[in-house]
Amino acid sequence: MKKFITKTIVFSIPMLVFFLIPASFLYTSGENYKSIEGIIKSAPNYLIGYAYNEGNYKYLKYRELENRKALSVIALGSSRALQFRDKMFNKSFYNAAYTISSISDFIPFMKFSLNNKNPEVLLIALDQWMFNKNWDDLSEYDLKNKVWHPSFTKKPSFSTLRSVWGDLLIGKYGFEIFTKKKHDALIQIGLNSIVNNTGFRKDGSIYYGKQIKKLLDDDNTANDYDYLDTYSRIEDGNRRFQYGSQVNDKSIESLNHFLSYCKSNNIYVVAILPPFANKVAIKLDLSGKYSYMDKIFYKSNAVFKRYGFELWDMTNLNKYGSNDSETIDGFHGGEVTYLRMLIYMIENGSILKNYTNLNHLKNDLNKRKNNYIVYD
Amino acid sequence: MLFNSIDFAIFLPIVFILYWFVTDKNLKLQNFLIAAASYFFYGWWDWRFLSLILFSTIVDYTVGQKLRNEENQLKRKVLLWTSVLVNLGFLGFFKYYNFFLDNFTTAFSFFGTEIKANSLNIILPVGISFYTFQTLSYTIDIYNRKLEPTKDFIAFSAFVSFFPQLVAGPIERATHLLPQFYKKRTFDYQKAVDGMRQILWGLFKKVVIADNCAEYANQIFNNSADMNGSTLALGALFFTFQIYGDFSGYSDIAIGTSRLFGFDLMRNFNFPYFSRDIAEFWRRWHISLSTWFRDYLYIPLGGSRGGIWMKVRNTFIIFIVSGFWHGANWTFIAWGALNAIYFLPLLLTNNNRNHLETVAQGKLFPSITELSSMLLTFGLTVFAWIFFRAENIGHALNYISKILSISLFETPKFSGMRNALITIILTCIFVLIEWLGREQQFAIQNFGIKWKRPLRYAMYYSIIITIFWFAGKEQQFIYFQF
Repeated sequence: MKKFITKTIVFSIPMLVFFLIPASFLYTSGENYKSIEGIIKSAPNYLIGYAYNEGNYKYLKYRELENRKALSVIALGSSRALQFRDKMFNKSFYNAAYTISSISDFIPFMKFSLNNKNPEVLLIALDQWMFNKNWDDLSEYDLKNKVWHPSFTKKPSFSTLRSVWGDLLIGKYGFEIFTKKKHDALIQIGLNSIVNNTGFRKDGSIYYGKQIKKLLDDDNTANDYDYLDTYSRIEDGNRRFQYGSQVNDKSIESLNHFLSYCKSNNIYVVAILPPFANKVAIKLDLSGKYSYMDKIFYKSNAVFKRYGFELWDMTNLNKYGSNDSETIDGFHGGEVTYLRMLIYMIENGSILKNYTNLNHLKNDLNKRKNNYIVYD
Repeated sequence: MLFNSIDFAIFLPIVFILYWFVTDKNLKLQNFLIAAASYFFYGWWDWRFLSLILFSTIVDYTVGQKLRNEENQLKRKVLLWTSVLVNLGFLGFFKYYNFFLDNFTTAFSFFGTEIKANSLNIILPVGISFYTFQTLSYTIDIYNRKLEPTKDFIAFSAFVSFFPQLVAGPIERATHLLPQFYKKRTFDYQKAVDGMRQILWGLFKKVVIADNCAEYANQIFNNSADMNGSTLALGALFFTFQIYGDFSGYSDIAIGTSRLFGFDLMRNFNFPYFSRDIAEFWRRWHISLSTWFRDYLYIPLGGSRGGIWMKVRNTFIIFIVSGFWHGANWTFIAWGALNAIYFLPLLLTNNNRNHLETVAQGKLFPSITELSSMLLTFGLTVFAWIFFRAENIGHALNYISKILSISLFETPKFSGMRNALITIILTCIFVLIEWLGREQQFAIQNFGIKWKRPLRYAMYYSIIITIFWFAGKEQQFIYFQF
């Protein structure tokens, strides 16, 4: 017995070290081993940014919605709807975006998460690639059987431990996270929050801390600096930028189904086609390989009109007074861009005027902190 | 609690130390520790269902006690049926209630009668099919006077809930496992080391092979309407290795863990994909369930005695019931029926016991005949797995019809093909190691056993690093749902 235990311990020591080091990073940062239930219920504000457990965001948003009464406005979509803030609205608002990656996700999400607490207005972003068969082919299975189900990963998997080692070895972060002073008034959870100062706020919107700092410093290590990464996507035709000439008919059908669902549930839908940086838009246009994008508004707007809803083509930043210096990367505008967008929509007759105060919004825009940030 | 979780990595050493250092002087205390640890292990998943196991334990223990002195045959039968009805009643309710309800309402609507029946949102308790069958074997064996009922309730509780095999087998017989709880266990170094090796190999099968194959099998089966024939064929192969890696991996970890505590569990898998015919496959796949059905269903029905029709009837019954045991879906019944169809010709021509020994025993390579028999059997098995994995019969038939179309000769196409290639390479290496170790209890049982310690440790670390580095996305063990 003694021999067995001694040998097992000796054999296990390297393994323990191998596992304990990444586990300690995950524990200290709250990336794993930390429940968010209490924080959702009681924290006035937080910054939750996971590096390896992105799936938890769906759960976070689901629980936040469950914890709130029926809201006036809910923003929904991918990361390209995340810049809408509660401070832009004068009625109750939550940003539930980053939960949708396909048109076929909308109804499953709403059925699962809203639970008879439908909002008056749904503000959605329809990513252009949602209409491209080569990115999202909307299989029969997805259209018929798709379910939206959030889950929360508390314990790390082998692959998470492995990723921590990988990131430690390439120096993405180091032991400084054990001593790093956190923001006093803010609860920070997750490695992305602690290391990059990036994550979700209480209102569901995103804060791109480190990226914004780098952009302000004109640091060429910023993500997608000078849109080089987006250009490479365009050149390679991958990572959402798959080529396509026609709008996928199934996406229009799916959109029709979704809008019909909203109509029958008395939800008014305001949709945007989200912006690209001007330089990126030019590159897309010159490539000649994305002609489906030019047809989206025309094809989709007919469906929106059928139900009396709004669709706004916000692809071009210039249209509402924004420009490349206000973008986070090639296909994400910043908070200032989205505020300008909102003002434009209200000035042009959007129903959102009933949920905001135009003068306040203009005032906020004038008092913006910098090109990327309006509010605290 | 999952075997491939950090929770279990903490739980196991704690129980091991308590077992061998704190309770080792007192057999009753040791058995109590096993029962308590097992309840903790199960309750970690959902404590509410502990009452089911406890109730089942009390019923079967009481029935056993009553059967001890009961000579009246009628009363003995009543007691036996009490146990059968309680156990199968739970199983029927939790597992099959909605299935029967849906099928009855569909059947009535077919004849023009609409019945409004609400299906219930029932959670299937993990492992219910396993421990139900294990406790049933106890009462049936007592009834058949093959086993003396135990007077030791704690030992019996530990037998029913024994954590290594509680949720996914092997389904132990009372005659084999229960007596091991009566005897003082002594620590056996070789047995423990062997157990550790088996756990390691089980983890490799589960985490590297099954979890990686699962990712692609799920993707392909879930989107089969949009995939070509060659991709679907590949999807069926991925599932074939997923289910083997998953289930036999679980069994290896269960058997290995039991050995650390001085217990021997029955073998559950014996390299089934190297079988030369379907009869051999069923002697090597999920052995504890196959032999359970053989002993408690097939033989009481008359087995292979009697005329041709009796043999055909019994074969279909055992395979269909076995299929239905896996889940409340027509796909499992179809899977069982298909295997019966595969098996019958062998039975009727008395060729069902042709291959009792390991293929190519003592040789490195199989003969051409052996190889072609293995490939044919493997192909039939893969085909049958399509029914097992499909959502419904229509899905399975569409899947098969696409495989049999001209698109079978196109290049497979699905997202993540490059990563899938790594999984394919790992699976090939795995098959090779399994082939080399096919005459052992598990593939790496004697692998490198005579090597010098540093080299042997290097091999173990290589497996651990492979598990760590190539771990697939964590998936629950498939058989937990059965």
